[in-house]
This record gives sequence, structure tokens and C-alpha cells, in this order.
Amino acid sequence: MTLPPVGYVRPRTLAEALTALAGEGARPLAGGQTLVPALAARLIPAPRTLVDLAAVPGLDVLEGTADGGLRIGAMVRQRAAERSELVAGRAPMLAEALAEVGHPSVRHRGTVVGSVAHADPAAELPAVAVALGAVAEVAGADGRRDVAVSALVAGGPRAGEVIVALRLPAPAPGEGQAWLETAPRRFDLPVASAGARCVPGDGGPVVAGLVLGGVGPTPVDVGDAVRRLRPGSAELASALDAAAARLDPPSDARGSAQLRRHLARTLAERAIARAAERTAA
Amino acid sequence: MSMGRRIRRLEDERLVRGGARHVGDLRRPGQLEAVFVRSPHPAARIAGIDAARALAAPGVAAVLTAADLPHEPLLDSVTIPGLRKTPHPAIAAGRVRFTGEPVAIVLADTRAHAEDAAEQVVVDWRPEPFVLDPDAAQAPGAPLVHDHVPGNVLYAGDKRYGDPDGAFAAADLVVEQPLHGNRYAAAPLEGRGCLAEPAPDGRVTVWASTMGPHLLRRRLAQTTGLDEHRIRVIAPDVGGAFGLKIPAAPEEVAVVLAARAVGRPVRWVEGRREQLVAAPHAKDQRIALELAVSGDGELLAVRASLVGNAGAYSFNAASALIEPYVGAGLLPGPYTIGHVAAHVRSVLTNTAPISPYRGVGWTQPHTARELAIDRAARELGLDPAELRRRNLVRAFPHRSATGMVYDSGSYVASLDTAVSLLREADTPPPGPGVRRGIGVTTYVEPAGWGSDGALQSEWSFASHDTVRLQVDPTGGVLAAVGTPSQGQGHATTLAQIVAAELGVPVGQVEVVADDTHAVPVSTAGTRASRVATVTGGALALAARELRGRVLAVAAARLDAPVAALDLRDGHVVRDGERVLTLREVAEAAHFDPGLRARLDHPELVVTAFHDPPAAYSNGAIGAVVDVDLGTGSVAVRELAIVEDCGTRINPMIVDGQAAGAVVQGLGGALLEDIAYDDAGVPAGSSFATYLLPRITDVPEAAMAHHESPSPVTVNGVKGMGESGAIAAPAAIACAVADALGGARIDRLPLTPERVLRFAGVLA
Repeated sequence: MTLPPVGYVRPRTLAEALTALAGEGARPLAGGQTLVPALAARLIPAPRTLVDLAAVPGLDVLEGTADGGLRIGAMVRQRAAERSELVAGRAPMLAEALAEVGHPSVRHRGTVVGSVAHADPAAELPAVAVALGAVAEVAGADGRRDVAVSALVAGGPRAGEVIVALRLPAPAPGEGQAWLETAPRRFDLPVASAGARCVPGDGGPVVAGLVLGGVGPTPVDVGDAVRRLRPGSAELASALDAAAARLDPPSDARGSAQLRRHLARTLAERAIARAAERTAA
Repeated sequence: MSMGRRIRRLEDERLVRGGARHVGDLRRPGQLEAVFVRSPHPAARIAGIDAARALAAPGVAAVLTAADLPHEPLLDSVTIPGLRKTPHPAIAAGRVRFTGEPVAIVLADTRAHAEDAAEQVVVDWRPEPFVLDPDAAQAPGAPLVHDHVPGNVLYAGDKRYGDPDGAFAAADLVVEQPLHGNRYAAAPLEGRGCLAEPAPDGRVTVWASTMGPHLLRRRLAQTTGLDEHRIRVIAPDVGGAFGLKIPAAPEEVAVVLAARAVGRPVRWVEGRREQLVAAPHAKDQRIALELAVSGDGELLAVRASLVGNAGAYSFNAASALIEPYVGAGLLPGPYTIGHVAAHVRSVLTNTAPISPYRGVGWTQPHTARELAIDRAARELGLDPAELRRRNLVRAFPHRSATGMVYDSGSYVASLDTAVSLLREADTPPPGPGVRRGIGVTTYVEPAGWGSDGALQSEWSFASHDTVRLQVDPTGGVLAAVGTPSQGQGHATTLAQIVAAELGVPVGQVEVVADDTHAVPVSTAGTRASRVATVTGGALALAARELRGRVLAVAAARLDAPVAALDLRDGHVVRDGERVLTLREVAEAAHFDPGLRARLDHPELVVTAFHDPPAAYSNGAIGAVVDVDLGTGSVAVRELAIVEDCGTRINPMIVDGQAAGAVVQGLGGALLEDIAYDDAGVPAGSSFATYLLPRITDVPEAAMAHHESPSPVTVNGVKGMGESGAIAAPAAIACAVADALGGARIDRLPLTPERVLRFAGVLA
């Protein structure tokens, strides 16, 4: 199939981009690895104008922040983040998840922020952003605001807004992270996924955070149910059972709610175990 | 000798350098691009079509509906008594019967303009009740897909061989094995497509992505009323087909009609979504199989109900019976099972029609039988390989219970080889919660359907070939055949046969197969693993006769007795010495009138007709899998592929065919399923939802060959290339069942959800 008629602009400044996005039927384009195939298949109504963010200066910057975290610009390609030593050191869960996103040719074009903004509840990057406590810097005609990704994924950026960058906080000292996902074929959109964080505790690692993907309308943060519990413990097992039972996953052609609940339970335990292995003694 | 050599494919340099020319690469003066308006409903009446806005859209030349394109509908050609016919219009008139059925064709200057305009065609749909499942379709009160087919039953019949009831009564063990087989898409790299160019005098030239140029020509003649010789069908490079491109596509007929209606060349290049939704699908049998076994492990009898989900039309591929009816004939498989009962049924539903796909008819009955054998072995406490070994055919020729005459083979040796190739069968799985399983299946593959082979499947099918072989004035050899390649390497293998028989280098032989105006008629075309034996056999016979003529010319030229001469490596040889080149012989034959006058047959052109007896390939496929009970994932760790296709023409191509088919079989075992949703729309409508195996899903495969030349074919050659598609699903399903402690598997593909249900992990 071919693209339907659609306008295209390539602004040179953020201000120009925001002006273009304020127009009726405008949509930002940041890699286009989801949007463009959907348009070509004519599965979604064509926007009047695609506002390509690729030429806006500064949006492709991936940098460390002074507090030991990361700042990922809107046009940072997934492949660049995947290969970044900064990401490997400061957000290893993101690096691990990126290696499972599509395939290299997709990752060379797709952007980290574009995927987070699209906020597919089964996709890797929105769940990882929630799991790592990412904050989105959102710009619009009314100025800038910071929004936690956990809040953003429920509604996405408003019309006319763009995510300029994501900020990821520094991991805790000695923190171990792990990402696991499953699908009938590797590299596909996961049917279910889990991102786990563990930190050193008295006498060994304890759980610091857990986010499950593909089991709700957004990534589901179940960290409160498992925080400070010991990997491998009976307490953790029953907490995971209870958390899995509370999930309300969708049923569709890719898997029933029952399957997704089982997968999430399996992956949660395995991701926590892996994160614990990576936690400093 | 050029036979049996792993020579590189002669066509590959052109193909890998981007030199291929597909329908999508063609451009004729004044060409229009066609896009079809298709039904979004599985069943609906068409109250009206308003094309006014589409006609006003940029670049649009015409919007044509059934009313604009009168034609005779397509019909299946099978004459089995009791099979009902379902006339199939190229463009639906008044009523649609499956999602994706075309109702209008939009012609525009570019593809994009045609797609934009197609969205502007307003169809007044009146959706009607529909039925997707063959069981539901037979229930009282079910919507009728065709008004003249009561109960939606296209065909129902019973086949009995031997005394199945007696055998079942005497059995110590009866294993029941139901199987709900998946609906596949052939999914070739290149979709369907064609370009039709009309001439002012009514002739038409059609470039088509087809497996059978003559078959397409015949269907075009039947639907348009033109004589066949006024229609020229050219198959340019074709990027895979696997059976999908055997039948004429209704869209191809529509494009020809549209081109003649507007008097301009019209091209249609199928899109992927269009193909997955609207092109014919494959397989989709519902099987209930029973296996009767004696206490000491003799497979006595098999009884099966084979219900084919025909889709909305009995397709012109052959008919809807290509699945269940053909499948019944192979129920005994490679075993000495003496008694067979089969109930065969084909049922219409509001789904895309069924057409051939690699392993036509055989895949799903084979899978059911092999799962049943593994379960019988478990019941009897026998190694499944040992149970098979006790029942494999050992003496040849063997007449199977269903009347197939297995000509030669290495059934037991192939099984033993496959077992020996699996190295990880007894090693521990990689972690807790992971179970390892092994499956080994033995198969026989009807391999080289001449008309005799077709008859042994109780199928009427004109499967002969005529070929023309000539030495041109410069000494080059031109082989003209009606069986083009869609990737199988005919330019190489057919040249190897000619080169070996004639006595010339392979590179001196050019194979032409693409043009009905240039090659002799092949009514069947490329399909059913028939080219090696039927086309190849005809070429061998032609080459033997042509060799005699070449030597006769040489003898006349040299004033020597023919018996003193030989043709080797492109040279006439006498007493071990090269005395003439083939070029010198050819020049003399064409340009020396004195010489010609002394010869009965100075022309270096031979045609040969061939319709060989049936031949059967065999082999075994083994799989070792790891099943993760936490995720339901199945990882295929190892595959063993053992193939016996008699004399191999080019072992490298045999390896490639065997591997490719196994990968498609792996897809069928684990991933591929069209699965309609509740609204009657295929869920597998893109490659994001119709899951083909990728290289990361495919393990290294160990491959081995046995070679049992056929005593009934030219040079002992047998067809091959479908075995993996027939048998790999069974090998993998048996391995998964083994990993799950003998769980009963009754549905494919083995998605994580199904695996966890078969394992009892999910309720």
C-alpha cells in the first residue's frame, strides 16, 4: 500500500515545530516506525500534516545529567541509545529492552521518545520508562512542563504538544535491573513483559521496583506490592501471586487474559531473580 | 557428468545482482495501475456502487464493476462425482461471500492515485448473516454461502480400502487423535500480480506471476471467450509461489477484462495485506483420526474423518477437494497399514477459498497419524521410533492400502539416520521449568505426478509435458519447456539433465520456460513436485534423440559410421579424439545443403512428450524441542532432515528445497495461522499478525540423504521439495507432546497459550 495524501513539514526550530503542531490535524513524526506503516496500510485516519522533528537542533542529544541520570532527546534513535555506554551504565534495563525492540533496521529509525509517546501498553519502552521513573519534558504553545511518564502513558501528550526529552533518574547505589519479555517470536511486540529493579539490602538484594507490560491499558507498576521483599522468598511469591490476581489484562488474538496473567507472573519472578543477580553484594 | 553435481545455480548471478524482472518491474506505454475495491464484510448484498467521487479523483481513468465486465465465471475443473460446482466471478456481482472479495476495479495513472480513489468508491453494503466454521456451516439454519448448495456441503463421500471394521474389531488398542489444522497463507515474497496489454485486434498479452502459463491461458480463454492461441501469457521472474500461483486468480481475469474494456495496458501488483486477506488460503482440515494397533505393535488400520473448510468457492486450483480428498489417499503413509476408511467432506464457509500450498492435502492427515502413532507407542511402552520401524514398508514395489504404488525407498534407513542425527535428545534441558522432547516422523511423498501418479491419488489431472530441444546454428542448446521456475532453479537443474544426456557443458544449455508463444504446452505447469520427473524426463528423452541426430550429421560430415562417434563435452569424439565441435556440426546442419540432402532428419530440433509412472520419495524428520512451562514458548533446538528422492540432479538444490520446506513446516507447527475474528475478518492480515518463522526461530539442521533411484522414471529421478511442509509439523508437534509427557495435542499452531493448555498449566 502507499501513503494516503498527507502534508509534511520539516521545521528547523522547536518554535517552528510547535507552531506547525498547533495547526489542525498536525501530528509529530519522530522516527515513524509505527505511524508510517499504519498510515500506509490506511488503518488510521491520515493527519493533515506530519511535523517531522528530525531537523530541530538539539533533539538528538543523549547526555548524562549531573545527578547521575540520563536525558534522552526526542530524536535519539533507538539504535544510538542501545549502543550508548551511558545508557548501559545508567539505565541498563533500557539497554536490555532496546535489544528486543523490532530489529536493527527499525531501531536505526525509531526513537526512544517516539515509542514512549505512542504509549502502546505492550511495548517495551513505555514500560521501561515507567519502571525507571522517567519524567517527560513536554513543550507546547503554553510553554514547558514536566510530567512523569507513569502519568503520561495514561493519556499521551496533548494535541499540539511534543515530548522534547525524557529524563531518567540515576539508579540507586548497587542497583540491579532486568528486563524480560515473551512473544511467539523474538523481537515482536511482547505479549507480556516485566522490568524489575533490586537494590542491596541487609543480607542480600531486595526488590526496589517492578513494572509489568501487556497486562493492562498502560504499563502496570506493582512496585508497592513487592518493594523490600527478598528475591526467592515465600513472601515475594505470595505477593506476586496476589499482584497477578489483581491484574485485569486484555484478551485478544495475541493472548487471553489468563495467559497474560500467567506470563506476567512468570516473567516478574524471573526478572526479579535476574535483577538480584546483578545487584551489588 | 553434469548430473549429481552441486553446481551453482546459473540464474543466481542475475537474481542477486538485481537483474530479476517481476511484474512489478514492468512498464508498457500508456499503462494504468489497478487497485481492487474489496468487501469488508464476510457476507453482504451490494445494493449499489457509487463511483462518482472516485472517477473525479486525480489520475483516475475508470472504475469498473461486474456490470462493465461481462465474462464466464471461473469453475473448478475436477470431475469427481458428487462434487458441486460454485461459479466464481472475477468481480462479485450483487453479493459477496468472503472478506476481501473484489467488487470493483479502479484504474489510475499511479498506484497511489488508484488507492486514494478506491477509498472514494461508495458501496451500499447490506451485510448478511455469515458462517466461518465448517461445523457451524452444516448446522440446520446456517446461512448458505451459495443458494444451490444445501447445508453448505460441497462434497461428502466415503472411501474404504480392505476391511477397516474387521481390523478395528480385532485391535488391542485404538488411539483417537483429533486435529484442528491451521489455515495457512502461502505468503510468497512476491505477491500475485499481472499486466495485461490488449491489441486492437482483440489479442492480448499477459505478464503474470504464475506457476502455469498455459493453465492461466486456458482459464483466460474460458472466461473471456478468446481462443487460447490469441492469448500470450508470459511468466517473468516470479518470487516464490508454493502452490498459490497454480490457479488463475479472479483478479487476473478482471485485469484482462479491464484492459480490454479501456484499450490500455493495465497492471495489478498485489499488496501484502490484500494477499493475506483476499488471496486463497490453504490447508484448514478438521480431522478425527483413529488408529487400530495390535498388542505387539502392528499398525492395523486407520479410520479418519477429513473435513475441509473450503472457503467461499471451490477454487479453480482444482477444487476444494485438494485438501481432504487428496489427504485421504496418504493416510497409510510409509507404513504397511492394511485397512483404511476415510470420510471426506468439504464444506463452504464465508472465508477466503482454499487453494494449494506446499504439501497439499497431506500435511494435516500426516500430522494426525503421526501424533496417534506416538501416543500408541506410549500406551504400548514402546520407543516411538521402534513402533514405526516395525511397520515401515521394506519391500518394493509396495502397493499401499489406498492404491499407491511405492516404487523404491529407504524408509527404515531414513528413520535410523534421523534418530542418529539428533545429538541433544538425551541431554538435560537448560533450566528449571523447561522440558525437553523429541519427535521423529517418517514420510512418503508422492513425488512426480504424471497422470499415473494423479490417478493413484484418485485424481484426474492431465500431468504430461511436451518439451522442445534444439541445437542452434552456433552450437548452443535451447530447451523450451512449459514449467517456469518460481525459485526452484530450473535453469540449472533442467540444463544439467540436458547436458548430461546430450554430452555438452551445462553452460551451453539455455532453458526457456516463460512464454506460451515460445514453448510447448504444459497443461499442468510447475506444481506437485512434477518438474524433475515429467519435464526433466521429457528433456532427457529429447536429448537422447537429439544426440542421435547430431551424431548422424557428424557422421555424414566425416564420412564415418555413427557408431564410431560420441558426443562429449560439446565435441564429437572418434577414437578418443575430438574431431568436431558441436558448433561445427550445427553449422553444417543448417548451412550445408549437400550435407542436408544426405540426411533423413537434418533438423536439430526434437520434441518429446512424457507422462511418467508414479514415483514416491521418502525420508524422515526429527526435532528436539525445549518447552518452557513458565511462558509456553517452544524452542526448536535441533532438526534432522533425511531425504531420499532417488537420483539427485543437483544435491545443493535438493538441500535447499528440503531446508526451505522444513522452515515452512516449522511455521505451521508453531506460528502460522490466519484465524478469522468474530466479525469474519482474518486476524492474520499483516506480517505483524501472520507470523512467519524468522531466521532466529530456526535452528541449525543436520541433513542427510539416502538415494534409492526410481526403477520407473528416467534416470531414477524422483520429485522432492514438499516433505518438510508435510512432515515437519508432525515432528515438532510430536516433540512438544513428548516434552509434555504425552499430552494430547489436537490443534496447531502450538502458540504459547495452547502449549500451556495442553500442559495443563492453564485451565
